[in-house]
Amino acid sequence: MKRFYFPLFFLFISAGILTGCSDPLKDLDIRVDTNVFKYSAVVEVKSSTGEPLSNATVTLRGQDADKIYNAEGKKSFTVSGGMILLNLDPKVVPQDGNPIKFNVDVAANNFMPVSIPVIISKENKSTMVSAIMINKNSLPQGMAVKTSAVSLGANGTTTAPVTINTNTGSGVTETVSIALPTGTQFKDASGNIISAGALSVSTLVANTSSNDVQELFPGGGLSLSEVKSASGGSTSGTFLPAALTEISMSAGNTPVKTFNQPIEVTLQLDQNYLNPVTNAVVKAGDQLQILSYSNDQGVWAQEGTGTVVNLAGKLALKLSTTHLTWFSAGSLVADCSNTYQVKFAATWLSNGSTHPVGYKVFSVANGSKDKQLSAGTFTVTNGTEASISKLPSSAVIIAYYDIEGNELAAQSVQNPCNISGVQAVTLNTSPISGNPKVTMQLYVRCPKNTQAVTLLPTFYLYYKDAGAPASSFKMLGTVTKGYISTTLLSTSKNYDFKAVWGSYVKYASNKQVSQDNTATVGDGSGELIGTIAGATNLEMLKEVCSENGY
Amino acid sequence: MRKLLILPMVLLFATTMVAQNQDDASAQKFALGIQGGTQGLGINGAYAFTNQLGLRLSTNMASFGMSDVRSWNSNEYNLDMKSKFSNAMLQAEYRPFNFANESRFLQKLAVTAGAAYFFKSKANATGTPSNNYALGDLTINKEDIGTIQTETKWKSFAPYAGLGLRQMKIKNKLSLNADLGSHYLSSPDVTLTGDKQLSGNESNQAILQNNLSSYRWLPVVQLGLSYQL
Repeated sequence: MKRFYFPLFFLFISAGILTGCSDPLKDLDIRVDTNVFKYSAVVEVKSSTGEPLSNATVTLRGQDADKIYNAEGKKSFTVSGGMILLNLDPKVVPQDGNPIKFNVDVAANNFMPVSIPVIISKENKSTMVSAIMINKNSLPQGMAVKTSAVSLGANGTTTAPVTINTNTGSGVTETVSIALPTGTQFKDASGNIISAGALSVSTLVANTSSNDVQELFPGGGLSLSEVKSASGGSTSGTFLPAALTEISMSAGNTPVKTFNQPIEVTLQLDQNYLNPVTNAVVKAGDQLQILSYSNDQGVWAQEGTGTVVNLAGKLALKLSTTHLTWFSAGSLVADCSNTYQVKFAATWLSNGSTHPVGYKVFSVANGSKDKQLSAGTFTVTNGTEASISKLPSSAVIIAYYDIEGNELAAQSVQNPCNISGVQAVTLNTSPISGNPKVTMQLYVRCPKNTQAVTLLPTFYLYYKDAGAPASSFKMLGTVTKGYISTTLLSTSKNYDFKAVWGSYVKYASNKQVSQDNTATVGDGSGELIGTIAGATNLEMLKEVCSENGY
Repeated sequence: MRKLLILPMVLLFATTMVAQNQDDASAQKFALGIQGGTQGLGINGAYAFTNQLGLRLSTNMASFGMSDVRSWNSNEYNLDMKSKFSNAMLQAEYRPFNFANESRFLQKLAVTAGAAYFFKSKANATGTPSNNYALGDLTINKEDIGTIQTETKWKSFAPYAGLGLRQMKIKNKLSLNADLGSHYLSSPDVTLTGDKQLSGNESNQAILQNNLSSYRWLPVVQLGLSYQL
């Protein structure tokens, strides 16, 4: 063996070892999933007339408001794509009997402000609530407004007794009468007398027997999380209204807040109102509670009680007040301290697919559903457990619906406060359950990159029939890591989709799905960039990619 | 696995017994030894057929670890890496210049070639965030972010080639051996998993697999003591 072979052999081995030792971690792209939240809530904000809201102001308040963040971990909240996304601080976990509570206040031009109570309980990791905002310029059926003009004397004073009466119509069967005595003066928010020659009075009257109106009840529904008492304390409960009105006035162009002397308001009642105290139809001599609601504070307050009287053949209740706001007459029923726990049996959802099952809680009259007290939505698969809190201490019917509004089950509960343990709820097969299981996998590729993004944020996906009005968008579900499976879609129809991620909203129109769908968002050939404002979407994609280091 | 570990021990024991059963005529042909180096620690038995040709059976066990800090997307991670290798190795040794007229260095020089059976040949790495994670106004504790785990495994069989220096006398029958060479491993199989907020990074597995595909040379640099029977 030639001696020079040895150094060659040594060099060969050394070279092999050295060339094999490139950086093993080269090109790795390790990222932190920013979906850090364990509990979230979605407030679906709808207008009473269906059009989307813009430039809405969102404010959170209440005992746990400081624990709530948006998807970016910040304290600013907006209505995006008709949704407000709220996330609980991941270090906080709701405890049994001690859920997270806060209120979401939403205000927008030309809409009456709403304050929606949100409760995040230990069982419900994804809470959904609705906020319906009343368009002042286009009231829904069951609500009517009357605007009246009153001439004022010197120093903005009524010179004679003034009576304003509303009319029935537009689904409203009750009236409201306002009596301003002689010498009434009108004060602004600072308590100063307004000196004006004319007074404008706006009186909104609602038909409290309409379930549509009950959804629009100030505060987000009839389940009231806080009712201030005259003594300064507070209570909570479910309010069963017999009358509801909102009175506002302006003298000149200055809003009126208070008066120098009481005015009298006569509320005509729902003549078929079932008084939960007597468990009989309301009659003259019954005592009803009077509540007022402050839009500024988002809280109901007890104004006292009134006696039902018969005025010209109509049952009514008179109240005396020195301020203007929402007024309602009815009965406040105490809430149960326990939560009502349910477990769903849905064999038609046993293949791992989920369905957004809505529930509505009704009071009971003559063994049937009466007033809608509260509502919500659960994401359900076979075996899902959930809970409903703040049921009243009176008989209720809880009905469950599929996303198309088909009733799947109903439970009659005589005394919800006595119920313990988990109640089985068997959901009948939904008429829309015949759809095949459709899976959708979405990838995102940032411009200039060849590979898809490794971690996608969780976002919400809505759908509607192609070409249907924007108000008919319904939630399809939560898209986790770009993936969702559903039985809500037919493979033989075209749909419009809306995706909402943080403050971003994207639309894809007129798409037909197959059972297995894969798509990539990007600017390349065959990739999706959105069918509405594609150029804007591309800029949005570039911006988000840049923010995230892609 | 226990059976696999017993196998080289039995082979070594058998070799030793064969050596012990030889009469004095075969003295100096058998040797037993220990070695240490990049393969860790081990024992060996050798048999010399001639002055130039011999056979060596050895077993080795090594466990190494190291730490590093790496940063991805502005987040630092502490990397804790550990490797474990244990094998039984059979190699032929050829000493082409083992003649009296050659220099003493060349007489000791040996070309070695053989194969190893690895009972264990894997490397693990764990990445944990060095710092808390900021998401807007929120701070996520680093313990809640999760970990990245990788495991790299090579197949059991690997050829070996190298150079050695043999029978550098220390005292009487005790001598020093030296080896320089390399195993040529299979292309490794790599798995990468993440948990908690680091789950979803599995797409990096293909990149890591590709990066480690050239990690096939396992260098051997070791010294040993040998006792002639």
